[in-house]
Amino acid sequence: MSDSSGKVRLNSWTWLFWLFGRFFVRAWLRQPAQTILTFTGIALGVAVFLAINLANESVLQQFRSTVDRVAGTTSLQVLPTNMSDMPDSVLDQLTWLWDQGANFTPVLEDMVVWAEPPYTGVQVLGVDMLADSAFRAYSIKPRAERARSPDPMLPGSAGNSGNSVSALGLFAQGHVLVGQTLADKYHLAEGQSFRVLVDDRQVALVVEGIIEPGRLGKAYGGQFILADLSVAQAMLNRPGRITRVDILAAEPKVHGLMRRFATEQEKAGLKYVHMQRPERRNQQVALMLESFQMNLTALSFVGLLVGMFLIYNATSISVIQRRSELATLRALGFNRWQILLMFGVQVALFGFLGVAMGAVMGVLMAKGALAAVSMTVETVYAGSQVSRLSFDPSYLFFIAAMGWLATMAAAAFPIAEVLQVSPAAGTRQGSFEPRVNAVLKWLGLGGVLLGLLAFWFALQPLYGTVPWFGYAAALFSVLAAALMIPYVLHYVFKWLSHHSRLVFGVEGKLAVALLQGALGRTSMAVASLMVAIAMTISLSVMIGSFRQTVVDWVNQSIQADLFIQPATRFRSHQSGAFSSQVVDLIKATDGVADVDRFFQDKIEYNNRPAFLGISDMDVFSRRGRLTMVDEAAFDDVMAMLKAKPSCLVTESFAYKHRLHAGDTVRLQFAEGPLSLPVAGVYRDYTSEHGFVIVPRRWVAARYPAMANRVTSLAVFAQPGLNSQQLRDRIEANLSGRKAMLSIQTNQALRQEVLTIFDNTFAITYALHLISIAIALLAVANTLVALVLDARRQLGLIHILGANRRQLIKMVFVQGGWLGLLGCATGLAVGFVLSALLIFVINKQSFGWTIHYRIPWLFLIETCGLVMAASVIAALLPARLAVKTYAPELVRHE
Amino acid sequence: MSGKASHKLLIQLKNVSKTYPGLRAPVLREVDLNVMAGECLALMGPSGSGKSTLLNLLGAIDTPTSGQVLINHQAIEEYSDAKLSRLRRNAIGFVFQLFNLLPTLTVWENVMLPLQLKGKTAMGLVKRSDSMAFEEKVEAMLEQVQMSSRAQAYPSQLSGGEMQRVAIARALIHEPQLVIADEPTGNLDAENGARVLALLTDLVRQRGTALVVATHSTDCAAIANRVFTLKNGLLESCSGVSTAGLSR
Ligand SMILES: Nc1ncnc2c1ncn2[C@@H]1O[C@H](COP(=O)(O)OP(=O)(O)O)[C@@H](O)[C@H]1O
Ligand SMILES: [Mg+2]
Repeated sequence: MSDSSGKVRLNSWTWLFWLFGRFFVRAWLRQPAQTILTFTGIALGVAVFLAINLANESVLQQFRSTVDRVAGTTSLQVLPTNMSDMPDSVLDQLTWLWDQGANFTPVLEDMVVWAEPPYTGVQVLGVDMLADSAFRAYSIKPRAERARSPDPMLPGSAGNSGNSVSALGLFAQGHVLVGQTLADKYHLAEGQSFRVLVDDRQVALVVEGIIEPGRLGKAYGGQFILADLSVAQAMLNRPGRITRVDILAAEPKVHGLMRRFATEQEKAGLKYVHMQRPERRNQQVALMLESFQMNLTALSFVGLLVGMFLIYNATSISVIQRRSELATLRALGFNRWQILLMFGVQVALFGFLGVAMGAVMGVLMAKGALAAVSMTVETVYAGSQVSRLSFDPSYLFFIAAMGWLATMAAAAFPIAEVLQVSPAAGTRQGSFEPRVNAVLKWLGLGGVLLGLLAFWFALQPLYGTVPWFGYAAALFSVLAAALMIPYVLHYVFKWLSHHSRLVFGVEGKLAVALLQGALGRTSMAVASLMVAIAMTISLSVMIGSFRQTVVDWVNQSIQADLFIQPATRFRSHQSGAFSSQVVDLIKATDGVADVDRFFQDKIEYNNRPAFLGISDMDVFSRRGRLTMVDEAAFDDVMAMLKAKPSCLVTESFAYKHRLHAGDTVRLQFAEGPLSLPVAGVYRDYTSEHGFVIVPRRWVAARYPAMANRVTSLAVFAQPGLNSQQLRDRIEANLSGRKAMLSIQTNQALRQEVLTIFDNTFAITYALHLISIAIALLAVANTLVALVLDARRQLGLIHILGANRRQLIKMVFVQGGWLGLLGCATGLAVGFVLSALLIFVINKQSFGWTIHYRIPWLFLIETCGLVMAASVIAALLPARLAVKTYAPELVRHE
Repeated sequence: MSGKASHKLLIQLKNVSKTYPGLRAPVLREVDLNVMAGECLALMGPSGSGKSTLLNLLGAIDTPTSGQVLINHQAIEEYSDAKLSRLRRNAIGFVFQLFNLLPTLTVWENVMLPLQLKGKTAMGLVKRSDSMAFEEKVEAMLEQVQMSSRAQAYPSQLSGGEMQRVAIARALIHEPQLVIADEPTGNLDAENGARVLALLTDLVRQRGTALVVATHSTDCAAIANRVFTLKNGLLESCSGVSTAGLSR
């Protein structure tokens, strides 16, 4: 420890790092298995955390970038409050904008479906081609044979005077521009024609030009069609309709315009539109996905927690192993800060390498996570695909840095212990062991208090949109349990040590004594297993209960024999409607007893997304069955809906907007407002945002134009005809239009609901397997620490006559106890968490009532697996226990 | 001095050398030593002279680099770990300078441990009848080392002298034929050291147990039947009786 001059050169940094290398790096290399175990654990934990967050961020990012690209330079937008469309006569009410020096242009946005397999959804953007260049920038791919102008800008810009694209061509019916990705996917070239499905029709279009990727060209991932507004209106069969008006104004004027809009709106009676900043669309998407993503994020923290535990463990092992060396260094004249620095650098480096490895794994895992997340987002929420992992590199950096800081924080406690190593410490027996025994009662008391707090949180109602209190209750109950663990373990071990018959004889007794002796470490291991198991169990109880609830609901509520939708709606999940000829054709098919016409549309209610449903009701009241929430009889509610203008709402809608039977729902259609009292609230698990169902007759009475809107049909067969036969007849009757419709039998639809359900939770299943894996790494790690901690004691026991087999048995018994205690506490906390998930968090996020059920078989399997795995986890430490050279252990330097 | 020594050969070192990996010079060079049943041997020598090394060989904790260790006329180099462990738990008791006791067990449990290790059934359990007998034995033993009042204390609550008394109790509880004590008083003040040493020698004499003790103290050497000194890896006899004399 000293150089030739006999004095330690304390001031030399290089010397400190040289020492660091001898001190730590060698130690890592000397115990590769242990080092790898720790690295893998940290990396896996961080990777899970990263993967989920990156996948979530990718989804939002993709939406955000599309919204931004489509919005272009737009500073304000006028949108219909019902979120679908509005008449273009709105434009007449906006002419005052010109006087204010602002410019505006109409937009029609919708989705169509590629007419051939794989029938993917394609976004259509209709804009005023003459005026739009000020709003959105894009460039057309120059034709290969006459690529003259380097960057031809579209209409209005001088560069493209009829070269690549004839200006007139863009206004011809069916002539459109397509995004590069779409063109590549289907091998489209200029002048080529192709077909898409619009509602229940097929429409032929001609490629007028291909939009290069860049700016608008990258919106919707390049999979879109751009057309002149009139062309788009015609192809979409929405004459005179637009979905929004984009406004271009100088930034300082924006506030004035918004105020002026309010007064103009008042004057003109334009109730069904509102003006907002384009960025608000991003917030709306985020809001729509909030609960879903929030749940995933909460899960991802488990990974981080276990990673933190592992670095805590690794650090404290390292402190234990070097305690006497440290004391020597102190005796040589190192001050405690220099020693702290050495450890700090070690942990920082260790954490950094772990996080770096985790970042690589995380990005890889994120691809898988994204596939699962985006499938759910696509089918259940937003209806557009997110296929690429896209996130700001700084976001990755941010998340990774968070992971790194978390590991550093976890190491702070054992590192702080280094400060207390006195120069004399090397001569005293004792191990690094947080003085748990002394504070046992206080920890227990703290646990009880936190538990009470958690209970109080659980009773709080929902404030805002995110059930923060519910999450806090979950977090606090886990913390409470973790704090109580040392207290509980202390008494469990005490009891066990008096019942050596129960604990595998002397070896078992010694095993328990060693666990008891390292109560702090033991508690940490049990706690981390507990967290992992509690998560797994609570999630599976929640998912199991939820699934069973959905199965019951599906069996009850899906009654019709066939469900028919335009293929466009089936594929795009958002647009597509029936024409009345097709409806009549189906109705007239021989064998059809009844048809319930249903219309579904996205709306905004109290600034939150929701769905509007318009139903024929009379068929439904005869044939259907709903479970009403408040004991009200289905028939009474149906009678009321028939008798006077009123509506139905789903449980989730009622919950989110705090509505009860008798309250009034105020709807805004483009055609005008409609206020209806709630006749009843029923259970429904279709959408967390909820439905308002209005009988068709009450809509038709006020707004005849809306009377015949249909987006799906529920068809009932005549007695004696099964759904397959009915389907064949309808398809025969539809002949050429068959491909434009999607017809699902009762069974297929039920199956599909469950498939969507399982897809939604696929990532959750994957996650909890990973968290158990990490927890088992934690057990292995703890056993290594315990063995290292107890090396001298193991050596002494060996000398007193215990053979190697007995030592190995001791370690295995320890692994078994850790597993068993982890399972027992994990089960207890798991039940508490599952109740919180079902009755508080999910109820508040989604407004759904889920019936509690316990999947016993799964629980037994999980516990068996964990027990087996924790005994296996003892393999490495058991080998370590007998590897040590016995005389070494009783030497007393 | 001791007529009681039955002259039964317990342990025999034949030509034993020990070199630690990384050290050039051997710590022990061709050492011959016989330990007879019931006799008391003292081993002296400066720190680092190889006393502990020699004791570890006698206690079957370590194996020689060359030469033979015979216990009850059997060479132990062929022994498996299980057999060596059985040998230790049946025939040998240890007292070290430090780290004698398991900190997580009480005094009572520490003393009980060798009995439990020795007296268990195939299932690893101690028979109930045995367990009663064990408890009486432990009580009597603690009485003899005057530690009965501290039976439920943990090692960390004891003084150095008390710890060594408990260690002595534990070394003798299973009635070994040989007790190996490696500087048992090295960490104690003179007064306590003398007490502990007196206790140890009294108890081994009472039981006719052989004792090999490494020590710096001349008091200790004074009560031994034979005294040896280790120097440069060689064992030299200090008293009138020659090292080799007894074996021939
Ligand atoms: N496990 C070991 N590895 C290497 N050298 C050792 C080991 N044990 C002891 N030594 C060395 O052997 C010599 C004798 O040590 P030891 O038997 O402990 O002497 P004593 O007990 O008389 O002080 C010392 O120089 C010591 O450094
Ligand atoms: Mg020694």
